[in-house]
Amino acid sequence: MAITRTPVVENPGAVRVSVGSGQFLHFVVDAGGPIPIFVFGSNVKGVLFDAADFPGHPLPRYEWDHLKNLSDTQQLEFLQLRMSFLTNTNYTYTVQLKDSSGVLSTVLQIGYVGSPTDIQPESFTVVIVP
Amino acid sequence: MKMRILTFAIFIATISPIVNAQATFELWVGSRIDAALDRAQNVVASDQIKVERNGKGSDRQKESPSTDSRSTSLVDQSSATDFFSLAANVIPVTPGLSQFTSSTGTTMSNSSTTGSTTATASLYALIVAFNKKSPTDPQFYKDHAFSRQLSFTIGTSASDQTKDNTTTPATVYGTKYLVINRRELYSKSSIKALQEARSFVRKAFEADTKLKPAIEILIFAALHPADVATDGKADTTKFGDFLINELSPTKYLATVNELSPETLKQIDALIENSLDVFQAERIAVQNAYDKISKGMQVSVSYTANIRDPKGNNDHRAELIFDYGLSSRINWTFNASGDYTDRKMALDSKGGRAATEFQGNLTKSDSAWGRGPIQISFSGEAKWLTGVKPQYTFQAKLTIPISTGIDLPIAYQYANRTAQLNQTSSEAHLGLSIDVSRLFQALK
Repeated sequence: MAITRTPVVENPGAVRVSVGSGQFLHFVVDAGGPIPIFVFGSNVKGVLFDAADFPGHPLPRYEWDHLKNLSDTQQLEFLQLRMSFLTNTNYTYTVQLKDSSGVLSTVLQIGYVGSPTDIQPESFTVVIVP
Repeated sequence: MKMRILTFAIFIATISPIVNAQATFELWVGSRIDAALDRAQNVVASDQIKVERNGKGSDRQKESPSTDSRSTSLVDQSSATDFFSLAANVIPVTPGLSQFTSSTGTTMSNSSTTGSTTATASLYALIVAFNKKSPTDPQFYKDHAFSRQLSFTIGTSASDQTKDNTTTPATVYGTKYLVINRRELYSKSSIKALQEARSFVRKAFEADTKLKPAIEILIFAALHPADVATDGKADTTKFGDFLINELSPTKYLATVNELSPETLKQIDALIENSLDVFQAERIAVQNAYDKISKGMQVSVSYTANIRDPKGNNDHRAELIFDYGLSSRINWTFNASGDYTDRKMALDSKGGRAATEFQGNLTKSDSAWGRGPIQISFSGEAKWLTGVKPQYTFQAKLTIPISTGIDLPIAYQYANRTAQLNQTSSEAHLGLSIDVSRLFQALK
């Protein structure tokens, strides 16, 4: 267990999102290769994305949006990205708060370098505000 | 005074899990999970988990081929670098060193003082260069797995007047083809192992996304009992505020320091309930890693040392077999047909068998990080027409200087002096640069 975790913007643990005013979260996972292994999801919906589900996997960059669809919103949803370093030494995980005008803020941005048997979860809770 | 220092030391040791704070609340929970896993591991004493297999690639050949008398490799490995590597046998044998290590006391110094250098590149490295792609582009790496099976070596090898009929260095040409490579990430067996590991990562994800919110609610209920209903449901607005304020990276430490020992015990009890899933994840990832990194490899290679018109030319066609005996020990076997084309005497033809056990003394930083300190013991038996059988033993220590740069130090003992440039024992010092690892380190 020897993960080097380098936060550029530290994970706040919880983030307020005003879904009603069009805010949503944009996720970016940059991977060093050759085969990134990660899952993303929540305590409410289970696994939403597996790296292998992305067209063109393995990729140097994976991107997706969350909470763009109003029906997806769930108060106090706990979101987690769980990364395995088995076949990918380094990851950079970025979450941005966005709306139709663009990026409002960077929620978190963290770099990781790990050994093959390392596992790193990174989680936060979404607090929906009116 | 001593008593005060002792008391302070005990105090620090007692509260160290809190003093050595993690950056976030999640990392704090993670450290408790890891501690519980380590405790469980000690109880189980499972060597399946406690394996410290080093990064993939640490047993690839980065040194000159064994045909080079100056090489620190007595035995060839089945796989070369994925990209490009350089090997320099920078210090030829010195009389002093030979005399020091000689068991016969009849050591003669080497007439040639030049070293040798080789460069090895995979076909993949050439395709990467032609396509102007990053060698670590995941998709490109996947699509060109076949091209990592073929590698080429070119360089120079020291020559000796007695053995080679010239002192002009030979030009080394070599090629190696990996026929079977079960360490390739995109082989069927590796993909199956990775899929299995992935399924356990998903299970651990499901357990973790239930466990951590449960711990957060437990802490909220302990510190704000009035905001939790009798059915255990928290006031969502106040719970949201609690997460944002009291469990933030800057404030969570003060929050957890307020927890009673009873609440901490309850947190640990929740963790214990999910421990089997996390332990299974650890074992699955470790097993996948072991399965891939210990996989069998078989390759065929051809190496030629071509000298000037009066010098002898050496040719070697070789079958190489590699197998991971354990998480730390790699076994290699070579069987080769050797041919020496002599200009001033009869040619020699024959065969050679060699074997090596290579062990990792330390853990590497990561798959692409600094390699481990390695020790290896190897033996070679060589039978050539017109020459008495030659048996050679080698002990080698490989010290990583930095990521991608290794310093191999080898000691060789041979039963016949002719094979070792008229010395019965020699020390070799080399330098190998794995550009693939160096590239990753400099990125």
